[in-house]
Amino acid sequence: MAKGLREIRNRIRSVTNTGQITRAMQLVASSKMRRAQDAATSGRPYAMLLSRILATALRGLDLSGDFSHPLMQERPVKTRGIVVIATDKGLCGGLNSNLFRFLNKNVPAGTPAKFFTVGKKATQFVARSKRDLVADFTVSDRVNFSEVRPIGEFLIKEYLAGTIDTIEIVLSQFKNTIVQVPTMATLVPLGNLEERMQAQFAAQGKKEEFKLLEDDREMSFAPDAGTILEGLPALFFKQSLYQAILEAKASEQSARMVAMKAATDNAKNLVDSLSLEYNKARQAAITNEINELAASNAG
Amino acid sequence: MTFEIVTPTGIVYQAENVNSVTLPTTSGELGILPGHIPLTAEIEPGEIDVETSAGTTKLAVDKGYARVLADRVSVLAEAAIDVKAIDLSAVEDAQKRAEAALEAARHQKEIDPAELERLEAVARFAIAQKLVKSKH
Repeated sequence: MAKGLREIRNRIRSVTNTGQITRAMQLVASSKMRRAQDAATSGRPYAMLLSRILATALRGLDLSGDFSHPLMQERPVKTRGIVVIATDKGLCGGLNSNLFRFLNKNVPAGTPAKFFTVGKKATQFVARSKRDLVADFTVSDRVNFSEVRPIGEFLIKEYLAGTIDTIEIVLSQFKNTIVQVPTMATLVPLGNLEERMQAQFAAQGKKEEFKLLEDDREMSFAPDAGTILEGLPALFFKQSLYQAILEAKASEQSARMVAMKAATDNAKNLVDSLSLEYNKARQAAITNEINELAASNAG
Repeated sequence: MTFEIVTPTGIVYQAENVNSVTLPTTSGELGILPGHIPLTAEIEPGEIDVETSAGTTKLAVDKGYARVLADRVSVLAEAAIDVKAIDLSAVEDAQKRAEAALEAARHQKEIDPAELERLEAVARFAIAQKLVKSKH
């Protein structure tokens, strides 16, 4: 009997310790989550204004003559370029496995594609599933624009060199703390801007419709639409990539917080039921001892 | 007329009932009054003056784009700062660091062009801030 008691006591201790660790991780994740969510939402006005300026400049050029930018031209797709954005660490529930299942479904093994990854888990997955991994990047938790810039430059270089014919991103789109949706989007060639922005808005859970051109009066340009348009597609691409990484970070921290909260609750329940078992066993042992004493006295 | 500056970190400055805005475009300084025709312009690092009935606010911006549409002036820039908030010694430090790094980088052959561009942005914005501050 005494041995059983000790075993239960040890289990209670280890479960309590685990519960303390998951609780600490939950607290860390929840403070990081707030910051990541703020960063993700505060980047949105920039993306909106940028896409609007790009759209008006494009329309201005449509009126004055033909213009083609290498990042906007569609070409036959031989090799897809796919950027997988996942987390560096695990312990975030089903976030990564959902994302990878989604990737497997949308890009079945054997599709001619080259892969670029952000986050260690993405690198591990792409390597393990024997896909063609070209480069892997890691970004810090508080990601800023200058960290993303080199990734963007590298992808544009690969695209212009012709090694890849599209740049697509796969990420867990942040909707709210409970819901993160695996999403795939084509960033290059920059196709239909309005459709893209609307899809992004719908994914973010916004109800109202996004309109790129709120005014159909003719726009004038200083110095001229061509000059303005020169650098815009690349900037727009890098901005979209940055925003995607911000969204993925917000998803990661939210998923981790929810997973750790569930783990903490589980640990608490387990400790409760183990304590009940322990007390019962202790009571039984005491009753047994009293019985033995009483029996020996009577004898 | 409303005025806003949007950077990757969010909307950093916003003002309602603006009487006039002066923008540093690549083709010279440009004053915007209410009722201006729709316009998209490229902006150089420099100073933006926002005039409201309460007075004039001066802001330093990095390069970017400006859009005037339906009595709304929106500036899209990598960075912006209120002139009053500019700490010249911090600006000088940032500029020196960036310039030293740029100088070191130019002597090396193997340098990431993206990193170079980033350093140039820091130096450029620091110079813009100093220019704007020294005028007042």
